[in-house]
Amino acid sequence: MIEYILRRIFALIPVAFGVVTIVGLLIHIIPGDPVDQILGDYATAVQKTELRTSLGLDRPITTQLTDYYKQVLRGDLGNSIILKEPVTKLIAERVMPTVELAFAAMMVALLIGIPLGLFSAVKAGSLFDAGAMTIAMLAVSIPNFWLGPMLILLFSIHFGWLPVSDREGWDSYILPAFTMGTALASILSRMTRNSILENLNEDYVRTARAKGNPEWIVVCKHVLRNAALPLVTIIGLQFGVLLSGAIVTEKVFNWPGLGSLLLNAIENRDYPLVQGMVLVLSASYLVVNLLTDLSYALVDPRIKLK
Amino acid sequence: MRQRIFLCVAILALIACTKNKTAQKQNHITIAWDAAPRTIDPRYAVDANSQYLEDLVHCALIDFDQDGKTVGDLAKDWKWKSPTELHVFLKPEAKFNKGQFVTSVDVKSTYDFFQLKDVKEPSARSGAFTNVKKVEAVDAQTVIFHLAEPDSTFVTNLVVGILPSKLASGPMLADPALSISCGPYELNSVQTQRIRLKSNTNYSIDTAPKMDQLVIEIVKDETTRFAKLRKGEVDIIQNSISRDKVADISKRQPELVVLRRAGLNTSYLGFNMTDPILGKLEVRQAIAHAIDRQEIIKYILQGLAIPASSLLPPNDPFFKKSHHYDLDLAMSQKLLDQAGFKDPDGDGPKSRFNIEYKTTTDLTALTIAKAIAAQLSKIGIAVKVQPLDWGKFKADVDQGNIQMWSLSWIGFKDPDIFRYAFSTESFAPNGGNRGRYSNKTLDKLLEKGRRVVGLEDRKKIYDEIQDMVGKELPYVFLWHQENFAITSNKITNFKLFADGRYSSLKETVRQ
Amino acid sequence: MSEPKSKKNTRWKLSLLKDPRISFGMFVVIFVVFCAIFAPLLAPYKVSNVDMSLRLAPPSAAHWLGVDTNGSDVLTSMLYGSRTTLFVAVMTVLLSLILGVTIGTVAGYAGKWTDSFLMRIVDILMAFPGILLALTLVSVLGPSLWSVIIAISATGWTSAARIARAQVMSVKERDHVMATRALGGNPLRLIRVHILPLIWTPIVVHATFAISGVIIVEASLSFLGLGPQDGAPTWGALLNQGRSVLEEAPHLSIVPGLAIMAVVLSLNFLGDALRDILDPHSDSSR
Repeated sequence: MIEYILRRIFALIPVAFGVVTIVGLLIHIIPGDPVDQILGDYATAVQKTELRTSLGLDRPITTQLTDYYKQVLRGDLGNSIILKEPVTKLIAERVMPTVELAFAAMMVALLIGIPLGLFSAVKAGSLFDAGAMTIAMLAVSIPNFWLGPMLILLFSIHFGWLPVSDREGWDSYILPAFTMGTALASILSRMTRNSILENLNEDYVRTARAKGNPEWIVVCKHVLRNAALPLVTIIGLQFGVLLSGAIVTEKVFNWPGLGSLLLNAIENRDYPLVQGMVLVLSASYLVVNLLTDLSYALVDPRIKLK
Repeated sequence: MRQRIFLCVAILALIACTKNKTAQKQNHITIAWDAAPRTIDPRYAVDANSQYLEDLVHCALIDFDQDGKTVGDLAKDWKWKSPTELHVFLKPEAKFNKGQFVTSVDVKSTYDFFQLKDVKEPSARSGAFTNVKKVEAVDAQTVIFHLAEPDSTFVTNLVVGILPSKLASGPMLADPALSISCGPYELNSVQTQRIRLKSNTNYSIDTAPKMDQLVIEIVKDETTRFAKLRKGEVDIIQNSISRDKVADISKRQPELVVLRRAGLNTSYLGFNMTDPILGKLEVRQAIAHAIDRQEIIKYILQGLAIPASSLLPPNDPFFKKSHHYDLDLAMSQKLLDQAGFKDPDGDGPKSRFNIEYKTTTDLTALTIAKAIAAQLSKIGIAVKVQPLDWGKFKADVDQGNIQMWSLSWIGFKDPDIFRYAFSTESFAPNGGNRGRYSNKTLDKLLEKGRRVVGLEDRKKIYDEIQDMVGKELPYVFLWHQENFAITSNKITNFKLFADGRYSSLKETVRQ
Repeated sequence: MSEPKSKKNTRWKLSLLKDPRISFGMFVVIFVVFCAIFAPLLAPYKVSNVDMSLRLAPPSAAHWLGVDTNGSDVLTSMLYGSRTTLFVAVMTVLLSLILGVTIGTVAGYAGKWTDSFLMRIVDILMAFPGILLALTLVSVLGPSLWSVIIAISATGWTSAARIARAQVMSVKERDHVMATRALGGNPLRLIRVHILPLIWTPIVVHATFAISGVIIVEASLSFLGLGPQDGAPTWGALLNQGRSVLEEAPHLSIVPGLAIMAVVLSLNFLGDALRDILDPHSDSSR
C-alpha cells in the first residue's frame, strides 16, 4: 500500500513539471504585460523598461523557466508582481473559501442527488422516476453564470431570505453552494440510480429478499454499499472539478476564493501568481485523484491497488 | 444532553452573530467598486481606484472641487514667486491620524521620493515631477518647489497624498496597519474583496466624516453589484452600473435614487494616422459627419452624456467651440468620393473599404462599437468590430497595431492633456499619442501652452490648438459622459464630483 | 455486441419507436439543425438590420422574441446564433474525437512506454485549468470561433482518448485480433479494420454528451469575456448579454436560456437512450 502511494506520488512529478512548463510558456505568449498594469497609463517607456528589468521579465523565456524550476524545487513560488506578496501566502488565504464552497456544494449534491437517485431506482419506471430524472437532466443544462443570478434574484431580492454575496455567516454559503451543487446533484442522482438498478438484479439481492427482508433494508443495507464504488469515483473526480472550476460561481457571488484570484491574476498578467496557482491547482487535482483511488480500497476490500 | 447543550450554544451564537451584524451596520456607509485599488501607497497610486482611495485616506496639498477646479486641501494657499518658484503654505492645524502635525518636512519628503534615483520600485507618478529641481522646507508651514522650466500646469500635479517623512522615503507600503495618513478616513483593514475605513478622529483641515465607518466592497460582476445595492448590502454605486438600469429605475425600484452631474471626460474615436485609408483627412471628416451621436446618447447611454466637439468638455474653462461636425450623410458620401473611395454599387452590399474597429469586451463599449459600425455602413464603410480583453487591447493600442478604436480620457484637470494626447513626443508607449498624429506647428503650440502662465494668455493658445485639432481630426470626439450614481434612498448628502472622486462621502449620512 | 446482426437491427428500430427520449431528442435536434441551415430564409430581418430606438423592446408582433441590447431582432439573432452555436459544438467535438481517438488508440494498442507517455500528457491536460488555456488561445488567436473551438478541444480530447484507450485494450485481447497480430498484420490496417469498428459505440455515446457539454462551456467562456466574437453571437453570448438586463428585459435571457436548455436536454436524452440501446452493459459513468 505504502509503496503504491509512494509510486503514485513519484509519478506526479513529471505531470507537475509538464504543467509548469506549459503554463510558463503560455502566460508569456499572451499579449499584454504586467508592467502596464503596475505603472498605469501615464508611464514613460524608460520607466517600463526599468521595471521590466527589475522584475526580470527581460530575460529569455528559457532562463525565466529554468530559474522558476529552481525556485519551485526550493519550495518557493515567488512573489506576486501586482499584489507584492508571496504567492504561497496569497494562495493560502484563498484556499479555505474555495474548499469550504466546494464542500458545501458537495453536501448539496449528496443530500439531493443520492436520495433522489435511490428513490428513482426503487420506483424505477414510475412517474416519479421519469420526473426526477428529467429534472436532473434539466439541471445540468443550466449554465452556472445564469443560475446564480436567478437564485439571487429569487431568494435574496424577491424573498429577501439570503444575502447576495458576503461570505459572512452560514447563510451566505447557501446560494453559491446550490449554484455549484445543482449540476453535480443531477449527475450523482443519475449515477446512483443506474448503479443501484444494476445491483438490484444481482444474486445477493435476491438472497436478501428471499430472507424476507423489507425492500428498503435490502436497498440501504446491501445495495447501497455495493453501488457506492462508482459513486466514490465520480465524487472524487467531481471534487477536483469543483476545486478548480469554481471560477464562474466565485465571480458571480464575489467569493474571495482561488477562482477569482486566478481570474484576476490572468487579467493582470501576474506571471508568478498564475504559474504558482496553476501548479497548486493541478497538484491538488492529482492528489484528490490519488485519494479517490485509495478510497476504492476502503469501500471495496476486494480491490487491490497496483 | 451534551448534544443538546451544544445545539443551544450554537443557536445562541448564531443569533448573536446576526444581531452583531445588524448592529454594526448602523453607522456604516458601504459603497461598491468594480475593481480593487492596486495599491494603498499614495506614491504609487496610478489607477483610478487607488487615487479615489488616496483621496479618502490621505490629504494632499491641493484637491479638486465638485466641478474639477483646483482648491487647497492641506495647502492654505500658494503663490508663484517666479515662473519657476512655487510657494505653498500649509494649514497649521493639519494632523496625521496618529496625532502628530503635518509639517513641511513631510511634504518635502513625499515629493523628494519622486526625485530618488535608485528606488527599488520606481513609481510611474514620478513622471509628473521630472521638472522639479528642488523641494525646500522653509519653515514648518512653507514649502517651496523650484522648477527647472516654467510649467503652468504644475499645481494640478500636487495631488499626491502626504506621508510622514519616515514612511515617505521608505519602501512601498502594503500593510494597512503601518499606514499613517492625514485624510478624513484611516485604513482599518484591507481584504481582497473589502476595504474598511474608519473616521480619522484627528482630522481637522475640513469637516470630519459624519459616519464612523466606510466600507468599500469590491464586486467585479455588474449584475451582482446591482443586486447588492437592491438588497441593501451596498448603499452607493457610482458609474459602474449599466445605463440600461438607470433608465427606468424610478419606475422599477422606488427604494433607489439616481444622481447625475456633468463629468470631466471625453470619449473619442481614435484613428491610426499611418493607415493608408484613415490617414486621409476626408475619410476622417466623412466618418465625423456620419456618426449620429444623438442617437447613441439617447438610446444606449440613456441620455447620460452630451455630444463632444473638443477634447475638453464645455464646462472646462479652456473649452472653445470650434469645428462642429453635424450628421450629414450626403456630405460624408461626397467626402469619400473625393478621397477616391467610390462606392462600387451605391446602396448595394459592396463597401468602399473595410476598417477594423478594436474595442474591449465591456458590454456597453461593445454595444456602442456595433452601433457606430451600423451607422458607418450607411455611407458604405464596412466596419469589423473586434472586441479584445483589456490587456491585449492595451498592448495593441500602444504598439500601433490598430486601425480604429474608441476610448475615453478621464479626470484631466489641465488642457496640457492635449500635449499628452497629440504631441509628437507623446507617441505611444511614451505618451498617449496612440494614433501617431504628428504636426510640427501643433507641437510648438503645445509646448508654449505648457509654459505660459496666466489664464488669458494660455486660453488664446488653447483656442488655437482646439481649432487645429478640430480641423485635422486625429480623433472624432464622441461625447462627454455624465457621472451618475445610484444610491439607496436612505442616503443623504452624497454628491457627484466631476472627476469621479468620492470626496463628499465625509458629509454623507445614512438614516 | 455478439448478437446476430438481424436481431440487433430489429431491436434498434423497436427502441427507436418506443423511446420517448429519442423522439423528443430527435425532434429538437432536427428542428435546431433545420433552423441553422435555413436561417437566412427563416429570419424575419437581415442581420445588419439594427434599430437602436427599439433596444430591449419586449416581444411584439413585429419582433416575436423582442429586441436585444444592440437593437437587433432576437429571433433573427437566435436563428443565426444556432449556426455559430452548433458550429462550435460540433467542430469542437469532432476535433476532440479525431485527436482523442487517434491518441487513445495508439496508446492502447502500443502499450508500454508509448502508452505511459501519452497518458502522462492526458494527465497534465486534465489537471490543467482549462480557463487559462482558453484565455491564452483566445488572446493569441483573437476571439474567433476557431480559437474557442481549439481552446475547448485542447483539453476536451482527453476524455475521448481515455475511452478509446480502454476500449482498444479490451478489444485487442480478443481472439481474432490476437490472431491477426500474431500473423504480423499491418497494425494500421488492423486498427482500422478490426479495432475501430468495435469501439465506435461508446465513442458515439460520448460524442452526444460532449456536444451538449461544449454548448455549456462555450456559454461560460462568453460569460468570462472569452467567447467568440466573429459571426453571429452564439446562444451563450446572447444569454450573457441578457444577464445584464435580467429584470429590465427578461426575454433576453429567457429565449437563449430555454434554447440552450432544450438542446442540451435533448442531446442528453439521446445520449442516454443511445447508450441503453447500443451498449446496455457499459459503465454508465461516462
